[in-house]
Amino acid sequence: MDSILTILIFFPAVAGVLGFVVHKDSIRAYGISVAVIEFALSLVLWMGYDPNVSGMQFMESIPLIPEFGISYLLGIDGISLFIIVMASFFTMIGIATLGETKRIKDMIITLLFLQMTMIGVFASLDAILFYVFWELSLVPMLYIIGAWGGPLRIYASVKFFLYTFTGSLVMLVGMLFMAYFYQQATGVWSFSLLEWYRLILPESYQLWLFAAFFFGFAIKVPMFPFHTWLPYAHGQAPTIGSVLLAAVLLKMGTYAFVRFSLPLFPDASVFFMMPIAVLAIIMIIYTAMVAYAQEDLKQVIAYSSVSHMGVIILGTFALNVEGIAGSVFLMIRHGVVSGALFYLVGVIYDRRHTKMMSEFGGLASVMPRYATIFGIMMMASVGLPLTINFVGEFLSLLGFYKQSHIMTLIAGIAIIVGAIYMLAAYKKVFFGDVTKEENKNLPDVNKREMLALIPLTIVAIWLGVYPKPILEPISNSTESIVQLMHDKAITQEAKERIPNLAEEMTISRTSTQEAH
Amino acid sequence: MLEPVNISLESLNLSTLTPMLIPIIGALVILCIDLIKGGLNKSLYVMLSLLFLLMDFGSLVDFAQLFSQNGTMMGFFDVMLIDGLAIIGQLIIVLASMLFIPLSLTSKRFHEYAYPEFYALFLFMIAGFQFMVATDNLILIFVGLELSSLALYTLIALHNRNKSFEAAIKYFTMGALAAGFFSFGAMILYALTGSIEINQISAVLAADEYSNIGFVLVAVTFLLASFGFKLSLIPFHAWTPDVYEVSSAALAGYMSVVPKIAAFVVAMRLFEFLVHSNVVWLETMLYILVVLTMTLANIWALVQSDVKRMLAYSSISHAGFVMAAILIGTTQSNSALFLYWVLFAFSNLGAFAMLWVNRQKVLVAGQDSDHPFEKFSGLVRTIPTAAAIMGLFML
Repeated sequence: MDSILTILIFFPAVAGVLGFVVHKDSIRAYGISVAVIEFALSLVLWMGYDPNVSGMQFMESIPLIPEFGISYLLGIDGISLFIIVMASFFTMIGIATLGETKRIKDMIITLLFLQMTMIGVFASLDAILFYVFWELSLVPMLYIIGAWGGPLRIYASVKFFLYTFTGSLVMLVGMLFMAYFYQQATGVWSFSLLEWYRLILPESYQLWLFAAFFFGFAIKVPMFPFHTWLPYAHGQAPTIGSVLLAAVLLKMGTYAFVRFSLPLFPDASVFFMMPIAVLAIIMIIYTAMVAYAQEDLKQVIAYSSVSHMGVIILGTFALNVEGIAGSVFLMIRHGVVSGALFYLVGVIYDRRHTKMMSEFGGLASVMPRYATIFGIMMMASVGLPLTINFVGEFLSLLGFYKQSHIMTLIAGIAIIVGAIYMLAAYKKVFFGDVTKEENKNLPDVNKREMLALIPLTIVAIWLGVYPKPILEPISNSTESIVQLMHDKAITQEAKERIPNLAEEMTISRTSTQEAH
Repeated sequence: MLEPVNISLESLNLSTLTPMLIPIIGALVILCIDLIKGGLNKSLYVMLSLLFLLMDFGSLVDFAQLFSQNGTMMGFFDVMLIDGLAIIGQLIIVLASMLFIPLSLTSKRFHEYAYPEFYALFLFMIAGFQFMVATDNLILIFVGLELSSLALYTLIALHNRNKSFEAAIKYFTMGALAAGFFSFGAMILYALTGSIEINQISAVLAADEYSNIGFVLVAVTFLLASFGFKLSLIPFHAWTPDVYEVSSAALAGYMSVVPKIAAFVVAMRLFEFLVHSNVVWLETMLYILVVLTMTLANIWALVQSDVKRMLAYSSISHAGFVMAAILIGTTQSNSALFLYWVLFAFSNLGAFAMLWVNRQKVLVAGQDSDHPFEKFSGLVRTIPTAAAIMGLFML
């Protein structure tokens, strides 16, 4: 059990290398078995996780370059645990439901490598290790979009790569400076995140470093002015690429905010809270409006996914337990719902080879099962109570309400826009008369597609009704982060903005309980 | 009335079972895949088995670290025993299996490697060996022994030629006899001491100073005979050349390494206390066995006309050397044993793999065995690399 994280990270990679030997007729069974084993391992990880401990668990540490304090340092807490489980779950159903694809062997091997990098990012606690996995994750995705994408695939994949690569280089500079400051303060080099947590920086340094990290993370999320690569990437990527991009890869940005920016730079976080909140709200409203104007079903979902990422950012920068726990929960929810919606679009694209909403209409009578699942997922995306989205949105907004009432109000209104465009899109595609001849005989979802969709639907509703098994470990871990931030904060404003949990423990407990 | 059973899960220490459970789960997964979708390519199964073995290896390395911190661990109703012997034995078993399994990727169509059952049985067999090595309990040793042997008989028979059936049946009858001997010996020891754990048995026997020496003699003779079969010590060796000759070369190489290391570890646990008991006839008996095995096998090897039979005899004599190390019974000799066996595993698997490379599907007329010496004469001219590698392994 001690090295389960190493096994989780490198099992798919080793399997990917061995996969080159497997005959191409059998590669699908091979990929599915590997992904199922990997998912089972991640469940073992969940079982072995002790939800009452708020710190890091399953730690592993091997020094790599001791002179510079770079080590192979792994560990997870409640925040990363569920993202890892989700990543392996999505890779599993992604591979299991892969349609007829050309060069399927290359695709499956690429997916296995992608899985390695995804889990590596969420499990690493050393900045350099984190950076390595972060950058490596670009390569398989570049390949997936560039090799199996639509007509503009080369443009989309290069744009995706250059955009995110630029951002992460700035982040790397930030990391080097952080290590340099650490060396100035303590006399030894270290890239270990846990040791960085102990370093208290003057506010002026914090602002610059925060900006450097913010640049890298914001592009990945993607936040409002940097979001332009995403619709291209989604528009051109094959279904599996969009699903993984939305479900897991985007979470790297928001996860990194929670893991790096907040605990390392609490004063800067408070300083930038309002500007970022404004950006997040613009992002929610603006992308929601853009989504309403789209003709292409996949673009609607792509923009809606960006819009929801805005809520996640808003929750994260509420800087209190409810907000951060809510936003982490929203990350899980965003993965499940957006992943499912992209998959659903993929289902219809496989049948008609078009994603234009004007081509459809009245599908509810032709494909009743498809329409039902799409309906449930759409309601979950809109945030209907008793679906997974409601819990997260409620908590995020509740958290931010404590910081600013007005902005929460605007954000709340913006979510209604979300309901409008989703329902409008649903109406265009599923209701009315069947106008096109080709649509009259479309086959309903088949068994293989059900295999992916039913578990997702169950998760979407189950976590909406009873989120406790996931929410509790998450809020335990967030509590320790918030407490750390409060202790580290040096300016008066930050001390006030970030709650001191040692005093408030009872209050925040009850409020999360109510949220259940 | 039965007492309600109260066992806490922690006290079971289920994690000690992980290394065995991994290949078992792997075997079940392979069977399930075949059930869901048949007719898949064998490369899939090979790679899956390799992955499971790698995971198994990883978990063993994990245990090795734990062991260096905490020392010997017991688990699962105290029948599992994870000590240095168990860990190193399992490491060798898994490593040798990992070397073997890619050989079945051959492009020449040996049909037995196309069956998923082959890989499932193979993984079950490894789990059996691991059980044998990682326990102190005679019953679990027996279970592990039978699990692995039954799988191995079937693997030989899967070759599906008349001769391989013959070999499998021969091996099976011998193995059944050995199993019978083993259970007899264990039974007598249990009757004497009231325990089936080897360290308990030795403690009880030492406490009453071997007063029932007659029964101990019978028990030890039975056990020795059964391990003699498994380890192919002279005079229990007769099956070895025949079985090796007709099973495929890779499998023969595997058989000469892995089942023996498992049996050696058990023999080490079992005979360790007997060797140190200062009972004269026991030592004499073992000495005779060892000396005979070391010398006679080499002489027989000299007069063989088939390379595989020659290698079979040579592996018998190697077993004799290892048995000598057990007989000496010092720490030094035990560590030498493992070093010796690791090296032997490489060279022997290598030598058999070279035969495997030079295999043929149909016998040429006028040739009565697969690998006569004549076939290899002049190899250095035709395939110099192969000849060089083979020379290296043989040395």
